[in-house]
Amino acid sequence: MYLSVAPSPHHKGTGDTSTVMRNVALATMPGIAALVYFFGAGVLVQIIICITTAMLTEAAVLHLRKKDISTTLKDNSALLTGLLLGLSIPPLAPWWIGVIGVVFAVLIAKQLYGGLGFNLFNPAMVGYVLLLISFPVAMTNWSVPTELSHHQVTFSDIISVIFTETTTTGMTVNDIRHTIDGVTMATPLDTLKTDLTLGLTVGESTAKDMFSSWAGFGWEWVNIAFLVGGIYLLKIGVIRWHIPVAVIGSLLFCSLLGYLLDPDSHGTPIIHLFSGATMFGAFFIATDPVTAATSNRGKLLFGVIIGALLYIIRNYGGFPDAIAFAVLLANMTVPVIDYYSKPTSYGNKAD
Amino acid sequence: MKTILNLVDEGHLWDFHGGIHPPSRKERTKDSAIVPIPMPQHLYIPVAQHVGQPALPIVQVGVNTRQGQLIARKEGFISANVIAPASGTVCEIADYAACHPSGIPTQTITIATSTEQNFESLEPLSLDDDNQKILERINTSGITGLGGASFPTAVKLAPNKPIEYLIINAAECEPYITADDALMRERAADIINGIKVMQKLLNPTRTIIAIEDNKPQAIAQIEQAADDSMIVRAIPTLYPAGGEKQLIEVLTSLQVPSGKIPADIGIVVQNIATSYAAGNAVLKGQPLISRIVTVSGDLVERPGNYEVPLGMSIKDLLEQCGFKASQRQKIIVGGPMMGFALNDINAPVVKATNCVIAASEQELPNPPPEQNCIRCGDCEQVCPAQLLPQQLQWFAKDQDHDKLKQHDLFDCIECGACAYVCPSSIPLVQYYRVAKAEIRSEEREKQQAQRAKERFEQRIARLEREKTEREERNRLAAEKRKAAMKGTSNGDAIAAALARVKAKKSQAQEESAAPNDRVAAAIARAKAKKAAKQTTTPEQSSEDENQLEQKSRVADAIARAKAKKLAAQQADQAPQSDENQQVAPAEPQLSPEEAKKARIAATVAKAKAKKLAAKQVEQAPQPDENQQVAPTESQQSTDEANKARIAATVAKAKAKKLAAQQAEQAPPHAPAKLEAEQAPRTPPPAAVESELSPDEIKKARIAQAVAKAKANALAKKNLKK
Ligand code: SF4
Ligand code: SF4
Repeated sequence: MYLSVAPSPHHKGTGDTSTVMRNVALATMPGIAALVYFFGAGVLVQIIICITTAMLTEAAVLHLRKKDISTTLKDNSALLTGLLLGLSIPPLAPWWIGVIGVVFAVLIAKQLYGGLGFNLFNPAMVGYVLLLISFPVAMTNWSVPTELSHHQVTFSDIISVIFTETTTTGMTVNDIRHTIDGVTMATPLDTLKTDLTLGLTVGESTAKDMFSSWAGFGWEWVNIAFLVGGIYLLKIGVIRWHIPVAVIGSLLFCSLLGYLLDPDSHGTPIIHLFSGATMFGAFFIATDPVTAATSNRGKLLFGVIIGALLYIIRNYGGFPDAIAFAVLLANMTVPVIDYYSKPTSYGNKAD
Repeated sequence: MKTILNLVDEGHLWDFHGGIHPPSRKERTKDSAIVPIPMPQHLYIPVAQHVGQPALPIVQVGVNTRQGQLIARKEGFISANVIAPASGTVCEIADYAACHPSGIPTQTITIATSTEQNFESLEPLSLDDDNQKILERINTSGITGLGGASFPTAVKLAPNKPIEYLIINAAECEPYITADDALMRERAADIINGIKVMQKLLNPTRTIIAIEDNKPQAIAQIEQAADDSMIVRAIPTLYPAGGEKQLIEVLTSLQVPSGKIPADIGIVVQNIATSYAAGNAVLKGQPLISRIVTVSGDLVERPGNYEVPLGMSIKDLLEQCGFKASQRQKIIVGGPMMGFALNDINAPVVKATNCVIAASEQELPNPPPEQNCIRCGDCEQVCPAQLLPQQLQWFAKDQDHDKLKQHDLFDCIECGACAYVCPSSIPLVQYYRVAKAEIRSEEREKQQAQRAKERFEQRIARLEREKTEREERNRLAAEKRKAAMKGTSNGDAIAAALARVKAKKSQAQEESAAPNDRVAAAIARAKAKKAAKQTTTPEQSSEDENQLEQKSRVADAIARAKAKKLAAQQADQAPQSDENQQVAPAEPQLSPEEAKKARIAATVAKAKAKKLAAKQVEQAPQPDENQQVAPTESQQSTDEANKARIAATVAKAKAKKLAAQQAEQAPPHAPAKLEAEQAPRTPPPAAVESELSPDEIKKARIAQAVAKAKANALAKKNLKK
């Protein structure tokens, strides 16, 4: 008779790391759907490129480090990194953009630090920042929402643009990005920033076409979709409320303050909350457990820092959106936050 | 503002941090009645079934036992009697598989049970009896905490502080276990009687019986049986609400400060099964010979709540319940969260065994392989001690002991909630257990080094002292001689006065140095005393007495005052080695004739002492050199030689003993704080050292060599004289 002996507890809950990662990936579905709806199937192509590269890179590194490839790959963390980066890349960016970003993210930002759990910085955001700095043009060329586009872009055009940089009919990304009225289109935040530097007021800028809805055409729905996915994650307990609420709360506070003080040069809170990558960042990037603060109090502080940095960089920095910078900067504060936000354990209250 | 007491009375409940809801799996047994298990052919009764020192067997192989008879007596303050659960014959007293995670065999009395059981009950007491008598009864009956910890109950029922809350723990929050539930459903009246006994002993302001709200029948029964002095509280089902500290927080909002026990904040927590057992022992005269055990798991055909004689092997018990062995299985003693997997199915049911689970690998699978921590923080959310399990895990892996202590590792109650939720399947609790053990042994080593250092420093100080005294005496003697030559009585008086002043001064010095010595000495003596009990033969003690008599005569005459003072300090510490008795005062206080007499007497005594010392050396505990207050001058040379010889022999014995001690393993039920008292129970030649580090071996060897050299030198000196 064989008695198997293991230390207690002998019973374990059902959650496991790969399920956690898979759930996060699933929760991006509404966001992906919205992005595809407004910006075309290029989004999907980028995601596929990034995920494939991520898995291959991870497998290669594990092979070099002589680790078991299949068990580690099954934790789905590489998949998630690829997915998150894929979502951040302009839909029509050339294929090598995603490849470079992901290889850098997985290889340098994650595996060089020791693999999952050891990385100080959010890998997807490290990859994103690398791309943004190295290829600023390609990375800011967000396409026009299909409805506003002057051209009908077919799926084969998209594939062709991504892999050969011109469509079958010989158009470049920039041609496609012309709107119906022939203007090159940037993202709403980008436009706002440019307009403000050109001396326009917020009111004048947001009177433009792309702001025709309340926070920028298409973008508001993308943000709402990510918000829905985030709430789903909260509901199933994969993430906790502290970080997203703190990010959104502090962004709201800052933007409200700015707007009330000087409405002409500060975007409305609505624009800040529902434009750009706000919701995506708050629910899917900042909450990356590995690189966030750990205690609940720490998480709140971490979120507040991200929200504030986000606003400061958007308003006063050189980039229209700033989720990646804000998160990476906040990542650096995590060890300090963790140190000072240690909860008082049972029986150790000083009274 | 409302006081906590008001809120408690209003039925207010508090939350503890975290907690989890593991599947309860109590359905199998939660409605089954208590079924007595027939007496097996053999019972295996370990002498260590409790926290503290193992009991000492008082029966021999071959004797007949009666059910309820004492077979092993408690040893020391924290210990418990062991009672024969059956009539029969003691057929073996030897090491046997223990009901313990380590599985290391412990001393066990095996009884071949007879077909007829005649129960030896004690005379029932009543609630009108004296508290001391009741406590004594609880002690005699071998009652310990039946909830799992098995702490001797009588100790907990005699706190040295007034008690505000007596909490009866019937939460039973672990999955699977329904033993307390069954007991409450069927024997509520006896339980309540037991609680009354405890109330009488503790006189608490409030008595609260806490039951998890998943046991409605039990709650109803207890509510019916309880009287007005008891509050029955249904608490929310949440693991680990039944943890002592968590229960206290839920019921009173108070937290037991780190490193303290509940009694320090006026709270005593007793398990409900313990109060049942205590009630029976006091009011019915029934000592603890059986307990309710839940037997469950998918490999037993008849899961249920069984009344099992203590000492029944788990194998026998499972067979009675229709156990079908499969290829691989887990036999778990206790619940799945905090229980342990048995590695020998022959281990017996002991006082702490509340549940036995025989589960297939499908029911309780081994956890998947450990993955990297993803810092998700789930562990932290559920930790009832509000620790940071994740950080602790990193520090434990780094063996960063300072950080671990900083993060309150020792407040971890090892509930397993963190490991339960960890998505990366990290065996967190196991990391903590290992780290705790490492830190404890590290601290023990430090303490030992510290002790060795102190001993060394004390010795240096003593030698220094002796040297100055010797010089002083020589000088005084010379002065005396000078004065005598002058022939003036005046000179004599001056010299004498001078001498007295000096003597007083040196005495004062000694006394200020004494406290340090005394602490060490007291520890040594307590140990010595124990060893003495076991080692002193009648012959020796008579010789001891002889010698004592002689010495005391001398000492009495010489220095009553000082002796009295020292006697007061050492009152309860019977001296063991002859040296302990040397409390002779400084000489200069004596008149010349007296001194002479004393010297003669002392020499005679010395000769005897020497002889005795040689004999005792093998068994004597480490001679306490520190206790030698001030040997008289005439004794000095013999004395030192003697001492040196003893020291040498002891050092040798110590060094020898080492090998044996190192091979020995700590008794299984030994928590750290008790380890000091758990030195080997066989007569130890050097009982002071329960464990010696390599450093100490080395020191012992050096001491031995030094002592030898000194002895030689002194012998030579003596010869010359
Ligand atoms: S085992 Fe320790 S660290 Fe883990 S949850 Fe329980 S008390 Fe907290
Ligand atoms: S639950 Fe496990 S994976 Fe999550 S933080 Fe705690 S130890 Fe790490």
